[in-house]
Amino acid sequence: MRRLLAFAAFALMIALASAARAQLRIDITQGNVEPMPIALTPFYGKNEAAATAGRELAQVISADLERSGLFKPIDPRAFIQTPEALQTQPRFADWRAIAAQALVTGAAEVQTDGRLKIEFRLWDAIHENQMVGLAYFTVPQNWRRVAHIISDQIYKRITGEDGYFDTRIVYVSEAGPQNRRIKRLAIMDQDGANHRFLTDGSALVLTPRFSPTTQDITYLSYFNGQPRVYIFNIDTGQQEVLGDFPGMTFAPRFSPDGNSVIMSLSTDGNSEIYSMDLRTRLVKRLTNHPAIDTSPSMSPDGRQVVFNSDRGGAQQLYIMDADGRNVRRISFGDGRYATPVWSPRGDLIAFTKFGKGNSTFYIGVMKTDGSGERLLASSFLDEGPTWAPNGRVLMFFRQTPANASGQGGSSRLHSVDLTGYNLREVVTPTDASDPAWSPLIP
Amino acid sequence: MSDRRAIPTRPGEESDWSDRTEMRVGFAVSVALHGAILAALVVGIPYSSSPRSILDQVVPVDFVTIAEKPAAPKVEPPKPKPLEPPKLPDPPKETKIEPPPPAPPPPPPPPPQEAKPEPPKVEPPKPEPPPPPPPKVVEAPKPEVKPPPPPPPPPKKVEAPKPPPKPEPKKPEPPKKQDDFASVLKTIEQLKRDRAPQLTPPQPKQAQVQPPPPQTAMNFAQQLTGTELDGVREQIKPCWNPNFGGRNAQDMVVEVEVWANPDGTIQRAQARRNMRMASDPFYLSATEAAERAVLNPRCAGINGQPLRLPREKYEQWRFFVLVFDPKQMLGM
Repeated sequence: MRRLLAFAAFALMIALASAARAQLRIDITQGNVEPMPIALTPFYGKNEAAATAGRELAQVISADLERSGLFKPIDPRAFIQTPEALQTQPRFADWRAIAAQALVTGAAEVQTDGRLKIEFRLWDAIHENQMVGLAYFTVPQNWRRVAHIISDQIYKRITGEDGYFDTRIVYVSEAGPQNRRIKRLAIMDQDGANHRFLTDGSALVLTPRFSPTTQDITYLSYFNGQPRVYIFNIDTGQQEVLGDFPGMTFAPRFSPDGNSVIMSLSTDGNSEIYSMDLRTRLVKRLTNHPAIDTSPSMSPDGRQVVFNSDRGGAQQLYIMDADGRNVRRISFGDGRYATPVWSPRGDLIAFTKFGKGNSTFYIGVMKTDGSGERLLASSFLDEGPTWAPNGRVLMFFRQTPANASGQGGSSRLHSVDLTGYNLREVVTPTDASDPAWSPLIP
Repeated sequence: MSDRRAIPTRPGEESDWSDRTEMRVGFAVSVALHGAILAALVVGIPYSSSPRSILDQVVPVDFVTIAEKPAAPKVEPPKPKPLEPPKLPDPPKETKIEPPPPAPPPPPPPPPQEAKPEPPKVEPPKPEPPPPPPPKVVEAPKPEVKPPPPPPPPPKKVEAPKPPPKPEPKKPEPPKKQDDFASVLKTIEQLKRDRAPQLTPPQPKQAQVQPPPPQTAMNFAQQLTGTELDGVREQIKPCWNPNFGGRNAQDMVVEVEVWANPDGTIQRAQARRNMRMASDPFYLSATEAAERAVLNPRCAGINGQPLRLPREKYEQWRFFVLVFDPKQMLGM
């Protein structure tokens, strides 16, 4: 027995000794939340036209990345190497000296057939290697799109997730006095460029929503005083009414595959949720409850629907299976929840919340089981969140009243990062509401 | 009296009580009859001349029928006329560019690097610029993936001109500043709560900042102290830009192996390879970010700031692993 104990003690000593010789591990649990410094050099052009295009390309890319809040473009005046010198391998030490962790170089060239060739390279200034290098051939007037595509490539290579710069925003443009407000559908690139109106303002329009797979939008219009849901193809300009239903249809939203529309239909003061197959035009009822059920949004896998309902006494968020079964409540906070939108990533649900007792509206997110609620923005009226196609950024509209009684004022689009940082206004030519983010342009 | 009250005798001789009873009965009958007439007037007469009561009609509110019919009855409802849609030009054609041009011109003289106190660098990563003094060992100039020799070549402690800052454990050391955010994920309510007057200093967080070093036994004099380990953490922190809003950011734990020189500069640093790097772009991004944090000369790096670790304990940190774990930043 004594021998056994001695052996055990010896074994313990050996174990401790080897533990002492074990490798040192240091946990790094805190990092830098500041944006990553990146150097975006003007794209080199052999002649003036190409050089001009190259400068503009770099400016658009720089603005895209800066707006994301994840990158901090370095002031070009600090650059040491010229665009021409960068046509060979960069001198990385020069770029590290100005704190750049990544470097973007490129060149623009007008081809003999009139097309524009644009190439770019993304370099890791710390590892001293090329992370990605691509070339594009396009018509010269397409240069902005190429800039956004390059921004997406850079974003994806560095963060690991798809970008969202080659996208568009459709929203309701508002103008005129409050009692004679003219509301038009408008569309623009996500950076505000190429702004266009889609309707002439003769009919009230509400709640535009993009198809996740095509360049279709669905929206509600009071044309001739009749509220109906329409589908409008941006590429072809074709438009059709979704159907004539008894009562009022509203809050339409596409399913993730774009093949059906899920919406609310109200008759006799009771609102229920329906889905319509766009190919067969068959309508299926999903909810059946005397309470008001509305604002449906499907999960990216198409298996579930989040909606809001006052069936529990107050307006809260609920999830049900896509066939309407297995309804369960997911929000339990104080206040009222509305306009839930399932993230394209599938992990979160964005919502509008009206705070209890403080008359404040919030834009927030929660996990799909209702846990982890975080409020990202708040004001007198924040409403109508829409996700960027990568599920990283939210856009919504904010009304700022002109006086203390909440009258007048302005309505503007804002975006905020999922982390709650980088809240900024999205500039539009007029007042704006009800934004909807497009998928990446095919 | 009681008999008369209980049983009336003859009609002419009925008591007062009987008289009152009969009057009550008559009154009740009268009221009932009048009421009936009135009800007939109010309810019956208006409809006697109308064809049907709308209450009798069946209200056709049947949602099931909606679901079953092809819902768009092609009544061609009026459409708001859209303006002409914005046309998108054809998408550009994308081609991959071959790896970077081979840097033909003779490399310019290396620009004035950050003034480094001492150049005991072991392995210049640059391909072409001939490293001025290749003081130590060998190594193919290419920084390719060659699996690192597990224990680095024992750095000669011969040179190291500058004596390590050894007897300075009493560095004024900033008093372990409280973390700005337990979670970098902002929530407005939390910010408000934080703004509220805090009666108790938030010290519990501080307690968990330093996990106990793994080496616990033996030779305590050789152990790195918590303060020394915190020094490394503080040194690396400014150069680590984790993508904390990315998908499953809490799972992006990366281990970076570090081989250090006795002077504190880094000889080599590389994330531990695993299959996930090839299959998960988020994880690849996380490993690259962690490597950049260690290799960035602004914080440490091969030609950068030396690690603030005591030289006399070099054997402890000549090879170590940095575990980049964003969970705490995410409040998990």
